[in-house]
Amino acid sequence: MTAAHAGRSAHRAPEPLRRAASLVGNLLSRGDGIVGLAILLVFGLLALFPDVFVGPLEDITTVTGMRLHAPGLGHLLGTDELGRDILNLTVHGARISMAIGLMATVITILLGAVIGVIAGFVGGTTDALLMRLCDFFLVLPTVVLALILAPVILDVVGADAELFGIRATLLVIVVVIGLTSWATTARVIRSQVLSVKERMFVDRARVIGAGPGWIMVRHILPNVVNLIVAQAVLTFAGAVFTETTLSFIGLGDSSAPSWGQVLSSAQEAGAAGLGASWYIIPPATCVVLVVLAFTLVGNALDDVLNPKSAGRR
Amino acid sequence: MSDELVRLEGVEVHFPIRGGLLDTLRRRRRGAVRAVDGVDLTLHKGEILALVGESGSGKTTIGRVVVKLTRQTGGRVRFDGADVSAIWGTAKLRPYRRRVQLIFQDPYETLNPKRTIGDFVAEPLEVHGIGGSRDERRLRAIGALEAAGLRPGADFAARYPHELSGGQRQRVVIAGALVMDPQVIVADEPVSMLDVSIRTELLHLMLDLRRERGLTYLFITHDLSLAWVIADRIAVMYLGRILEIGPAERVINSPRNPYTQALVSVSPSPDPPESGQRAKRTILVGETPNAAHIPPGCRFNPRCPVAFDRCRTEEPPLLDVGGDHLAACWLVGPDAAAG
Amino acid sequence: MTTEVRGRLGRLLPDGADPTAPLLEVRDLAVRFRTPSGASVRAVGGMSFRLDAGEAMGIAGESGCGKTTTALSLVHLLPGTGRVSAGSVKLFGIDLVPLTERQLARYRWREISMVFQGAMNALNPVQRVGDQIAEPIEVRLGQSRDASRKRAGELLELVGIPRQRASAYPHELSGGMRQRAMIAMALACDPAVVIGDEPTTALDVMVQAQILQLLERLRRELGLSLLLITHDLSVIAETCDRVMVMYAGRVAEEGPVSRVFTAPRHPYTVKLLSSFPDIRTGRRALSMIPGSPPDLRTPPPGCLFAPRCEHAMPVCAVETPPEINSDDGVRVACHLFTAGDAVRRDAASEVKA
Ligand SMILES: Nc1ncnc2c1ncn2[C@@H]1O[C@H](COP(=O)(O)OP(=O)(O)OP(=O)(O)O)[C@@H](O)[C@H]1O
Ligand SMILES: Nc1ncnc2c1ncn2[C@@H]1O[C@H](COP(=O)(O)OP(=O)(O)OP(=O)(O)O)[C@@H](O)[C@H]1O
Ligand SMILES: [Mg+2]
Ligand SMILES: [Mg+2]
Repeated sequence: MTAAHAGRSAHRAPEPLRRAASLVGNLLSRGDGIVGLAILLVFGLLALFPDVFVGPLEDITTVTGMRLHAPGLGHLLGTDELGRDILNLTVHGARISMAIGLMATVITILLGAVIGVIAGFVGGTTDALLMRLCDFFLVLPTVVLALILAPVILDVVGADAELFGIRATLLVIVVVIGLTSWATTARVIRSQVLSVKERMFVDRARVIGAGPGWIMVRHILPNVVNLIVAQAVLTFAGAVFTETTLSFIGLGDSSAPSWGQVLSSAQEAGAAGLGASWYIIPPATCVVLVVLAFTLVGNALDDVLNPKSAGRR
Repeated sequence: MSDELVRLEGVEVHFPIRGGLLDTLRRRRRGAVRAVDGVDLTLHKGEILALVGESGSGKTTIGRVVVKLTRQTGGRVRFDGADVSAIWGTAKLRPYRRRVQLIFQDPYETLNPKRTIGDFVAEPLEVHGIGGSRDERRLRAIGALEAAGLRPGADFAARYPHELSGGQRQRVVIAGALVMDPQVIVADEPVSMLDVSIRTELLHLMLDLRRERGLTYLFITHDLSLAWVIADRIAVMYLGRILEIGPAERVINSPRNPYTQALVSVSPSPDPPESGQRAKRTILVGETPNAAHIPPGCRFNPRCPVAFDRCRTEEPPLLDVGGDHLAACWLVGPDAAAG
Repeated sequence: MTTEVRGRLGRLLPDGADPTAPLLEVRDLAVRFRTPSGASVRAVGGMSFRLDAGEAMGIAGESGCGKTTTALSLVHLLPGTGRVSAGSVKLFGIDLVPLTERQLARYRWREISMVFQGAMNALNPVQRVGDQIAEPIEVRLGQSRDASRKRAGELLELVGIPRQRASAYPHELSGGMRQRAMIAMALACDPAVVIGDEPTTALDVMVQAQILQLLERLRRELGLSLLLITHDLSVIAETCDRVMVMYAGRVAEEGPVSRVFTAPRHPYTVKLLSSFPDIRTGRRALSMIPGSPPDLRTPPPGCLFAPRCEHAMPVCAVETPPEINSDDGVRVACHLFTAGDAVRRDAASEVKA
């Protein structure tokens, strides 16, 4: 009897763990999920331990190669106009690009989800006001905002300030991406909350005496969480992409080469004109791969988190 | 009367018609939809009262007022003698919520797709912090599932809504209402989405539950023949008002309001026309008018085949026609001869 | 050159039509669906029936018994996973089953048109109702734009919508009016057969009564043939001459409404009728049909209704009952009626009691 009892409670205790495990399991049973996760795993490792793979980041003082050397034995992916190894730059770029993506996503999702959920759930005047605010941010052009904000932020925090090891110039990019993309997330989440709120099971929860907090946690959130996850993944992909764009137009930090930064230097060095495709292709491929991987995982997650499709398989 | 459980007195629900953002901010109204427009209704202990009417007549809205999901804009609601009209808010409504439950029309919509059947049925206990430990609540939920005819209950408790048929889902919804041991159940079109044979099973279940637990039902339906099968009394609604109310046999067999008469005459019957069972049908022209534009006088007068002058100016109250049977029509009143 | 063949009301019949053949004759129709798991569902298994010109036949039965599948298979409208696995569908004597998609286009809508359940929500919300009705006339019959507009106006009038409302958008019409517009659309090419799949199910009683009255009038005035699918027996009682009760993809009983509904023979028909509320007969206790329909992926041998039938005999579990035609035009597939006359009468009176 004791054994049976212990067995039962042991069976229940790690419930969240078990759920997470089965989620990953489900994700892995889908082709797109596997491919996406595998790509992300590789990039994650590269971003975490770049030195292990390609040694420390090269700069002008530590260059190992000749200028604009085509791919060869010493430099598998060639070198840039300063003689830096492209493979080295690209791997270290993963770290910067993904850190920026991650921070921008956190800002976007926090702002977007909180505002979206509040607007949808509270409704009325609050909703109307928040949505007008959203509309304002929705029409803000990212690049213009970045150009305006960059000097302001640099002025306020100082160009050399650092936050969690990220330099102020990169912070500008994070803030700009966050500011311009939370509104979309908020809108999407609000409309989902609105439609979930109208579902009968919410009325039913009220009839059995549940308060707004309960309804929020038990009924609304579980039905928007998929969307939040999917939205986060898409935002991440978008942020990596936007960072590339912003660096490309010169808003990055040349001493911290993100993929966008590398592409930007390639442009300045006239790599395309010189036929130095090895300079452009690696960072560009990485951007495309990461965006693709996140989209794949996002789609797979969306399906896997849905009990209906889980039961169908 | 001591056996009165729920009593509505002159209940009104008017929904404001709002415009855009500016109107919302200024709280300006642009007229109103008079969904419920002065309804008196009493539910006696242990009875089944059917509320019948065309789409948009305000049946659901009344049901929602009774379970206190929608605020009445006028009139009072009494429960067991006490005035509960002004009781609102999650905490204050707790005791009321334990006694009055709702079964919805669409079992597909009432169940949260992300949660198991067991969670659904046990949720009321959890909300009210009753039923003991998690395991005890689970046992009670399983008991309710079995009472609603889902056996073995433990088996069903672990499933998700999409793994059940429509009839089974509606049983789950009923179990979810039963688990609180309520006194009154408002059932809003509980079987209209279901197939004939499943429908019959559920009606039997509801009748059994009344016998076993002394439940009282407000049974909302647009189908007069369903009301006939299940109800003790029938109330006929039209554009937010009750036009006729009385014992089921009297309302069906000797309807006094012309609207009820028309409804009875078109109520479909599986007996072929030539079998002689059939009276002449009165098919009203036009459709239910809009609750935003209720005509003056008797609200039914534009479609009424026997309307006369008085009907176009003065709204008839519910008049007693004897035997606990009331009808709102100038033709049944004491001074009907004048018309 | 083939000679023109003209049928009822001087309609031009398709090439190869046999004017002496019945309007629609279905024989041993069987339909199978492939399921995602690879199993095969025998949704319709050997249905035969016939529809004459100007006749209305109702198809009744529980959900999932194959009513919609039968109707869709007549004009090759089955979803991709379904196919007609046996049988023939003869319209004017021409078998439609082997026809290619292109050959069939000539028949769809022009000869056999359909009104679906909730069809009123299938109208295009951004196109005027009149134009939506005119479109098939213009496209299928190749008439000029003006002529088809004019015809659309006439059709709307025919279904009781004032011609002026042709310029309305769907949301400006009530549910009942939209369903009328759908009926007008189904009549656009003057089809020989109109199939209504639960055409009034989503509507209010009063609107339902109006639509049924309209269908009856159209049938009288235009000589339409109607195939009316519904689980609501009362709708069939109101509008049809004959009724076919289906169970699990087969015909249980078929015959004149006046016979089948007043003196049902098949135990399933009896149950189905008595589970229907009727305010006129004073019947308030509804009887139940215990159990549920069989799983059509693995249909049991014998009569498919046997497990739920209170009159089931040993033979019912083994042998599929043959369809027996009796003199009064009723066809029934039940072992109670295959044995000698005396047994049949006994059983019949027992069933009715
Ligand atoms: N929240 C709301 N805001 C505005 N109008 C509403 C609201 N709820 C209901 N109404 C209106 O009130 C009227 C009555 O609606 P209600 O849902 O009570 O009708 P019903 O009799 O239940 O109809 P049905 O048979 O279609 O369910 C309708 O005209 C409807 O449009
Ligand atoms: N696309 C499909 N794939 C697999 N099976 C199907 C498909 N469509 C229908 N079926 C099966 O075929 C059978 C007949 O279905 P059909 O829709 O014809 O029934 P019906 O009598 O019209 O029911 P209802 O009254 O619910 O409309 C059912 O058992 C159903 O599960
Ligand atoms: Mg309603
Ligand atoms: Mg169907």
